[in-house]
Amino acid sequence: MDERNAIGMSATTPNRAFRRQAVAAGLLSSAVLGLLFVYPVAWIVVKGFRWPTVGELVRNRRIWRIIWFSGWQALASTLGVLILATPLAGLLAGRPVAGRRWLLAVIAAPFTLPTVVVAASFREVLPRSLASGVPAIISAHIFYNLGMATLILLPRFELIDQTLAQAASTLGASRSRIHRTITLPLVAPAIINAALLTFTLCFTSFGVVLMLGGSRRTTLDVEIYQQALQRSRFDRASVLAVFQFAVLATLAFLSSRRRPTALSNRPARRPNKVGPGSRSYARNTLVLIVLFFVVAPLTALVRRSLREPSGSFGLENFCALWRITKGSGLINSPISSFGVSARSAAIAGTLALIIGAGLVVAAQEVVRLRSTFRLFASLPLATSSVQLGLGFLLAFAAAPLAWRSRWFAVPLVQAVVSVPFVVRQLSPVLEAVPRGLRNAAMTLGASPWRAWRTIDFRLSRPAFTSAMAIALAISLGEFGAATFLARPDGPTVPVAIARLSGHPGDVVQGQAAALATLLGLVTLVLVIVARTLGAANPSPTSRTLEPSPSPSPNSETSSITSKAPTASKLPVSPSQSAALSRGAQPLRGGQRE
Amino acid sequence: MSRLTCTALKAEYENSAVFSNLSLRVEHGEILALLGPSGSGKSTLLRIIAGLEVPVAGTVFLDDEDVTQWPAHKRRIGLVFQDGALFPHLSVADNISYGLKMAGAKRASRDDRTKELLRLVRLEGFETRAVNTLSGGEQQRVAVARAIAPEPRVLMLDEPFASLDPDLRLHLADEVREILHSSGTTAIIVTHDPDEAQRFGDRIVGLAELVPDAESSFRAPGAC
Repeated sequence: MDERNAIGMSATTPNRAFRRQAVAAGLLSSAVLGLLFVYPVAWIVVKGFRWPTVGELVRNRRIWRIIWFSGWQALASTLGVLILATPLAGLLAGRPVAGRRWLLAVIAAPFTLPTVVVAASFREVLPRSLASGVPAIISAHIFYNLGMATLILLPRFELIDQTLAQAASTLGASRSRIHRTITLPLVAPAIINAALLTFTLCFTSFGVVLMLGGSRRTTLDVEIYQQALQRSRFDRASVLAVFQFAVLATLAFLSSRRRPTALSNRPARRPNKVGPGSRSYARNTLVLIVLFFVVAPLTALVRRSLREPSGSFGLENFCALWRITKGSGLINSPISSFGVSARSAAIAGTLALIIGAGLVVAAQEVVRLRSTFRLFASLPLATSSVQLGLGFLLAFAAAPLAWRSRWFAVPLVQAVVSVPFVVRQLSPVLEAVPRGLRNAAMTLGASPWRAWRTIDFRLSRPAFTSAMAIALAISLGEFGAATFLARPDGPTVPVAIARLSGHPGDVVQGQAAALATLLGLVTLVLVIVARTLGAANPSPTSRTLEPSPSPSPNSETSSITSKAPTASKLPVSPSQSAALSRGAQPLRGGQRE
Repeated sequence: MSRLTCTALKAEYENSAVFSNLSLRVEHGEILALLGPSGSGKSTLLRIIAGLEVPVAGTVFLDDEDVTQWPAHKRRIGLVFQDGALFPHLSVADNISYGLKMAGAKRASRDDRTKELLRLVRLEGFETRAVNTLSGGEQQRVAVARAIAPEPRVLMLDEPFASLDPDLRLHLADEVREILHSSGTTAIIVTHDPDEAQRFGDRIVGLAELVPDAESSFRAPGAC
């Protein structure tokens, strides 16, 4: 006789019942992502793509110039980022620096900001003659990505045992040769990772190039937008989008093929306090340069937002946000865009949280389908949001799915964009809740769903709040897809900033700066909330499920991942969090604009 | 003329003295075993001699030449670290020939010397192996070969066998001692194990013996 029947249990155990519900949640979440992500992307590839258009574009010299520009500006920006980030990370990893945590927070801040805010900052800080064009684009890209690259490089530098440099020194290597023969080869995997990621983000740059590129400078994403929305050449936009998929896939492939060298068989030792020579002068100089580079544009933006049309300083520009200004490109008052964005972000955040939680719980419960659910959770990282916006525009044009002009199109696409970041926040915390606690609750009479709600959810509630804050921040700053889908009478805040910035006049420009400052502030507050909750997360890991303290000697990737500054340790934004995850794992996709 | 002379050395860590007024002399070809408890400053002394730390006071002479202010890479003093400190991105042969490359040796002579040392430490055929695939004992033998490859004026070994099991430790100590004797290398080995010191050194010195007023010159062991 079956043992369960012998002791009077039903054939379906509570755990099995919960697993069934988890599978249903996972399948439902996957189906929603299939509809909102796979379907639009497949539409671009299958229906939008036309071979005759390929021939037409291949013969078009302007397209080649755009591809060339996309490539070389991304390369120049990447080099600029690495030239600053590599020595900075090396110096920060060395001797203790006073206020290191705050320094990292300031350096990382730009990457937490929406790209339109970054672009608006550079319009203000650069002299008028340089405010649009290549120098502005490259400076803004360096500003935006410097913190992300530094945070990818820093853990690798910190893992290098300083004894190696000392050993090289006793074997006759000078400081420069130690850098060349020991430090750089060991940091190389992280440098390549940071380079690939920065290149990808700059290659698919949209907001910065749209606002700072003027009429002559265009990247592929901007060209996709112009072909689709200004010339109604959806076939050309689709072919360019497919080409961009191919580039992103190649970069992801290159990134995933690399296997980093194991650094050491034991934890890295920090350098001794006593030692010949001092690098404090070089370090302080570099830190000051970087701080100036990071702080100056943001200060310029805030200053511009406070400079009134009369030339004095005050809050006039912020008060003007409640007024409709002629020639501003907006039908309603600029502040009403906050209402649109807030509603959109709230819906997108809630939806992303539900989809993300469904995928995480399903992946946790069903081992066999774990990789499938994880793949679905990371799918949206495989495209830029401009491509996704184009996909929505094309795929949801006809009944019964004629959603592209409906008010909920923007929140839907923003939810898709947010899902991978929500999953990243929830996954480690939910997976760390000991299953025994839920089992105990069920033996005390709780149904499986109630046990999950009162135990797992209760223990991981800060992670849910943190994930919600991150989803809100992403949705508020999302620009690429919103440019395709936002209605003319209801632009989101980034779209409103871009429209205002494109129109002349002191009042309108003041409104643009004020709106960008407000958006930047709200985003920073959300990121700080997410980070604080992430840090204060009473994850049960520390008490009951402490993972093995020492990773295997050769598990370099796991060391990097565990030591990488994550959302719980540093002020990491949604995009930054993604970048870090992609920095430690195979590169997957484009910029969250 | 002694190979190495240290006079009146003083070292501090976070403003408290590790040792002061320490003097030491090592003759050509001699193997000195330096004995002392953990935290007594043995490693600090080696790091000062190697040029990885600067003493607060005192002088280090190599063949009667004052090298106190010289950087480590100009002293030609080899150091075998407790855990080997092998370069993880280089093969066994590249680790051994690293110092020769820094000294500007030609490729052919580097290869010859590397082969000779691999034979000496009984690791022939390991040239292309990644260092993280070696056992603890093999790694330490590579570390010794790497340190003696550029023919240092003094070779220092900082508890090189501490992480190995007792049998292997004594066996390897005998092997390395033989290698150093056969190559005529002047060496200092630091250990807290009297048996190892006895087995390895031509002369055994307790760190306390190097300081005239030991009571006041050392801080408590383990305070490091």
